[in-house]
Amino acid sequence: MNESVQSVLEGLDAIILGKQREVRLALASLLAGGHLLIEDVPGTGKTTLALALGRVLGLQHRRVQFTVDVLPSDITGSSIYRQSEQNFEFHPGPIFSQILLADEINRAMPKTQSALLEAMEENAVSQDGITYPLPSPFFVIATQNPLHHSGTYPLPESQLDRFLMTLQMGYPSADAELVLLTGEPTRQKVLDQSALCTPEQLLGWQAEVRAVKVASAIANYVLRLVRQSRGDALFEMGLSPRGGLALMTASRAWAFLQGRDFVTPEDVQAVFAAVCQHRLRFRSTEDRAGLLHSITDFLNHVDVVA
Amino acid sequence: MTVHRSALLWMLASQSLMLAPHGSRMPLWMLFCCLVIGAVTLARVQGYVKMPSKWVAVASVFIGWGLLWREYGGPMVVEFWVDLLLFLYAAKLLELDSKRDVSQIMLLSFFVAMTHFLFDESLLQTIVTFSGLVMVMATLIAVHSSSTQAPGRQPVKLASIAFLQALPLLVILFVFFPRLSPFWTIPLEKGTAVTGLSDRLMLGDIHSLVQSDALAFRVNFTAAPPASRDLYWRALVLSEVSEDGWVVGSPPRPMPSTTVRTQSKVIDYELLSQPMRVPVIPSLDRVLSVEGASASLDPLGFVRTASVLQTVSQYQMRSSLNAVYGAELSKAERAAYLALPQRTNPLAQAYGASLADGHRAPDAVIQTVLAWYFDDFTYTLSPGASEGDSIDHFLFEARRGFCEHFAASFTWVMRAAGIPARVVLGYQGGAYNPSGNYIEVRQFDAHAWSEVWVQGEGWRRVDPTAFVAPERIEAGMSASAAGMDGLMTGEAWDYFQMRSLGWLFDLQLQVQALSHLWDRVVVNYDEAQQLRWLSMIWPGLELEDLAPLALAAFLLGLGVITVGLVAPPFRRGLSQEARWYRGYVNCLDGLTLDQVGPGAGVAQCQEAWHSVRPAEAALAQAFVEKFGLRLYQEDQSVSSSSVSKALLVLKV
Repeated sequence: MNESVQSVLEGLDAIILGKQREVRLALASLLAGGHLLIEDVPGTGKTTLALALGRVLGLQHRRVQFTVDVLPSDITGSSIYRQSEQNFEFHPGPIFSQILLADEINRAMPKTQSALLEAMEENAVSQDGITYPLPSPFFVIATQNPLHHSGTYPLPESQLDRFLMTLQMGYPSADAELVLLTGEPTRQKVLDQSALCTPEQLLGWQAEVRAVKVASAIANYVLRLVRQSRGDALFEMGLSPRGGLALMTASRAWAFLQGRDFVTPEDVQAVFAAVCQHRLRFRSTEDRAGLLHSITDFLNHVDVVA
Repeated sequence: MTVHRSALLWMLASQSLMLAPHGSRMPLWMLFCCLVIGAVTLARVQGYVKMPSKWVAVASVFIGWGLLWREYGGPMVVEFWVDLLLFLYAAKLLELDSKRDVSQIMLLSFFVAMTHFLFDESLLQTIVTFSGLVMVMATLIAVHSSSTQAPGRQPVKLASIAFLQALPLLVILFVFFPRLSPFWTIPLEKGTAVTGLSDRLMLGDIHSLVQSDALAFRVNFTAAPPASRDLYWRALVLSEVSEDGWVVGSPPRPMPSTTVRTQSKVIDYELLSQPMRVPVIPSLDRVLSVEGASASLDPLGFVRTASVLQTVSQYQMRSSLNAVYGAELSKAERAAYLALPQRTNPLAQAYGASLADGHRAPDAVIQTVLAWYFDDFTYTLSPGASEGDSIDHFLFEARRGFCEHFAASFTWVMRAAGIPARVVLGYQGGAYNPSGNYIEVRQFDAHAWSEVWVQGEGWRRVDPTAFVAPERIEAGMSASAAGMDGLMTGEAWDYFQMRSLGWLFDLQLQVQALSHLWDRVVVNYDEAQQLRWLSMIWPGLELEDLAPLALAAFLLGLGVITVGLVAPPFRRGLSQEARWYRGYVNCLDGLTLDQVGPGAGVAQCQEAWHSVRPAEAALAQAFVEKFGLRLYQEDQSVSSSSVSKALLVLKV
């Protein structure tokens, strides 16, 4: 594998302890050019992961803490009238950064959420008829508390679709947690972390990810997954064509992180849960762990080779 | 517990269904224990109680052993072992903890299903057992379903499909699998509790039989069935008087010249007998020949079996309705059929002697007595008790009675009058079932009559009951009982009540016909029947050929399955890639096959290779690389044959 990619991964692993899989999924999401939604109870390292990604990748990043009274213009920026020049001047909001950390996105009211997600889709902000392009690369890493927590506005499915992946951080392992309790404070580690790659390198990697080979056998496998999800007893609603595309893109990024230039079925399976869990509507109303289990079940009975 | 709650509910339901057929038979305390264990487990499943300590399970096993030992007085009866199995089957719930326990209980259910047929082989029982087995399979499916969701009705659907798929195999095995007849003739402790005729006639015996609507036997005639008045089913000849009444005794052998001379009216029929209390099979008076398991003709003209019948058995018989037999009587016979104890029933003896005094012809004597019966006696099913010299009491005081009174007293008087006579026990009449075209004889059709010997004519059947209550003979018991409201009690009465409801009666006839068909075709399917069937396909087949034939069929089946498992999948429509993949997965040990679903790629299987057969992992790796190159990198330089070759190397 590319040495700089390796060093980026090592840098992230040093900060986020015992979460190799989550770290790789998050990085894969960014390499695939997709936005990331991290979902878990408070205190499990959602924000730390987002911050660490920004530091390690050497990207300019900003953080917005969402609350009920955050307005759309607080995110995108607003035009202010200048008396002296007798015109409106656009003051860009925090969204004009390479990594936007949108903390607790589901505490904001739907109007604000929409403004953010619209910008994510368009990669630009329109104000008074003028379109201001967002910097490149541009990632949104949003975090949200589990939906049944009080004071939340759940994101509608159509907007969840904008995120390439959803991650659950989960509790750290006992070993990792011990190091966390006794070692250097994580926040300090993040601040001390220097950039391990340049934005140009990152863009180069993104191009490499796009060039990862997807054989017809893999395309057919993804097709089988997508089509079977639509008729499966587990799901009320299956994957959309956009879901299939997302799965393909994410699989490429995962294969790239595995140091390969072609996708294998294992890559598809590795990213499937993260890519698809927020795109599927489940028939049962179990907790998240149960739903992930259903996804594993689903993967187990779709033919890898046919 | 790691098992889904609904799977546990399935398990409890199927277990109850498997235990239910034994419910009425098992000791009361055991039924209670099973119910308590079931209730506790249900409470556990619902989360109200915790798992009991393991000592509860251990203690319950020992207590169960002890109580059962006491109940049956040791381990020498089948019921002991059956109930022990059932008890442990229920008590296993006390240590229910994991999927494995549920599987074990459900596998045990298949053995429990077999025990059902030790006690009841009826169609109803079969339906109950089979539906229980479907539930058991559904439970197994529900338990092993990897989904975390509630399985809903899906397992029952799957189990039913599996059951239906297995049915053809069941039929084939049933028809062709060698019958292991001795295996099933285990004596049951309660086998003697069958209602039926006994080998003696005490006044009151038949009266208790008439209360019972238990089935005695069913008969299919090749031609139209004879009229009810001709249907005398002869079972036993009682030729001696003892203190208890008329008994079989040890009559002298009849003279060889007393062979039957058939005149006309020979009828063939097939009789399907229920278990009997005595080792005889009722036959139409008078039987000429019999075919069937261990059946033989007694010199006195009835059908004996080698031992008391424990199961439903079928006999082919031929009878002549108006045969003449016993034309000559030896001295010993004459003495035996005239013998009467000295001091009992003096009035009856005196009356008989007075009839003989006039040196009248036997015919005249018989007519005199019958005329007396016709004038002065009443046929009733509730004759009241008698004590002391019961025949004297009946003849000269009560004058109320039914067949047993008439037959016993008539024979007594005949002997006293110097006419050789004997009592015959059996059944009379029977109900014709038009749906199944057979005659059904139940215990309330039990009957007793007399046979007197007339010089120059031989043994003549005389049924005094026919003179007192002709409708009993003409129309059968059911018709005469309907006219005697309140005289009968118990289950037989319910049976007749039921008959008066039109559509219900029809339905009942249909059900009985079905049950009869079941008994004839399925329950009675023994070695001889099997041979008859198979020799239709394969003429000249002998009994000894069956075992090798079955073995050959078994090996053939085994071979087909083995080839199917070992051989590469020749399924049509599979792509080359899929065949490679399946070939590779099949190379893995059976142990790991469950872990490798269709959703596992070759790389995941490779991990299994490393853990199960590290020695061959390198060969497998070579295949996986070739496979990946061809399939996922679309490397044209890797030819299809080189992948096949790598797979072949792996297989060898």
